[in-house]
Amino acid sequence: MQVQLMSYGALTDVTGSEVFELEISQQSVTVAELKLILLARYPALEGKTFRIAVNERFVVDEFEVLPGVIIALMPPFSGG
Amino acid sequence: MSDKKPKNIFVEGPVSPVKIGEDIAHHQKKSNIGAHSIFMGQVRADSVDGEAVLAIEYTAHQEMALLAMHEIREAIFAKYPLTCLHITHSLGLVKAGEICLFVFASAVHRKEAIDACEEVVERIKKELPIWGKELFNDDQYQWKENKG
Repeated sequence: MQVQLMSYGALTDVTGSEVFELEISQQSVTVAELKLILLARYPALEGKTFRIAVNERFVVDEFEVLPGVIIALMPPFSGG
Repeated sequence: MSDKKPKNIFVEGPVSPVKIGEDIAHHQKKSNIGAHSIFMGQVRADSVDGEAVLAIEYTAHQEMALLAMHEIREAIFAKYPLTCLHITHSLGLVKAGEICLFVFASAVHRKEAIDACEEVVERIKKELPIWGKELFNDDQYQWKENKG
């Protein structure tokens, strides 16, 4: 399946772009599995703190990621 | 959560002092207000390794930020008897010395205006998906971190 990802803040330095796509061999993965896939593709993510939102909602590690969703990778906020 | 549509809080570039003045002026008609509490965040020319911050470039997950702001607003109105609450946050480039955040809380009496204003500022910094990139000379930058 293919998912669309958006990275924000310091994570854009790691992923190299703000919007990118990821081809995953399974038809669904948990957020925990997605993190491992991302870590394999972007080793510099190791040790970075970030939260994941799927379709604009924060999700837990057990959440199931399905084809076509938009995933946001968000490091600690620094507005204001 | 109510079904009211989230209000936009974002402006491109700095929050202009003229807009701030106009916002204050607009409240003169609301004669039930006895106290305004205003917070303005200004981009500070911090020195990092001898280099001064020239500007901050703000980006946000806008949809999520507006939803989070909406929830904060609802919670603040439930907690404090406010007359009104206005929030403006910058996106894009804001130079050192310019205003990047404007929070304007109004109430009948001062205590609720002051307390609400402070709580809104703290929650904005913690809960809104907004990121600041501190820019230096020669294309150097570092990502801003909000201190506890």
